[in-house]
Amino acid sequence: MVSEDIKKLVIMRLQAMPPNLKLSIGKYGTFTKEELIERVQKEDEVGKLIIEMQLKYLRSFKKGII
Amino acid sequence: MKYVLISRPKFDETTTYLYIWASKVIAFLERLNFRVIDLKNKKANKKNIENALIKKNPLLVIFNGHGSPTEICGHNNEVLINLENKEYLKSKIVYSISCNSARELGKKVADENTSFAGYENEFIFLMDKNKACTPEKDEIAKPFMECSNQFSISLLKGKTTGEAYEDTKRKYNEWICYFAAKEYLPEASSIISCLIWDRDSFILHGNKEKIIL
Repeated sequence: MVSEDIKKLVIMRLQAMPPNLKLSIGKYGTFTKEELIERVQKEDEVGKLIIEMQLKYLRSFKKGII
Repeated sequence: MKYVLISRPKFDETTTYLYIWASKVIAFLERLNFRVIDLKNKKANKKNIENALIKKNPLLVIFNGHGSPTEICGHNNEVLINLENKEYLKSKIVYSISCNSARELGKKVADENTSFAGYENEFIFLMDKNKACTPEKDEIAKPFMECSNQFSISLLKGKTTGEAYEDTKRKYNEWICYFAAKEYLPEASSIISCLIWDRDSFILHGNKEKIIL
């Protein structure tokens, strides 16, 4: 179970994604930002993967990797 | 005759991009006079893959397509390699651009005489939906293509599998730094988050000293 705060944070990041972008996630297919937001809200497999990816990105700031 | 086997199905947006990206590696191979066994579209099936592996004994095998921790897939997700026929990849350099396949299959294929490079998690990339019909002109997808092709290109320049692996990680870091310095671009942070994910998912199992030249 992902906390609502984390979901909100990830959704805010996805909302900032330019509308012309699509994300390819292997066998799951390709997703627009609206579809990604929906998946994060539902917390299905794709949603969990996106949350994990965004958290990894945010942690890399904390570690000073970027 | 030095053979290289490439599998590149094309039946959805993701495989179409990988298909186009692979054509750049094929052009490089042909310039170096390698014999390329190009199993594309419907030819990317289990029967053709097994025949090519047995009869031509390629030095390098490059898979493009979907996958799972125990499978590499071809046209319409037909399973090409799994834990039952993985022995066909022994003694080769394998580069699998297919999600998750390095996690379990790659580990089991690799040994002291076999190299397996690939992705432990989903291989993720961004594309410009206005360029989906012309992936070769998609500047959003370009960093992912360059990183994805780097392992093959480095091998073709005579580097060892270990060096090609390091070159690939370096290529990811170069693109991450490039976009970090251009954070004013609206797509920058989305691209960086995907590149970090792919970079950390990319792994090399087995022999780190193999070369193809």
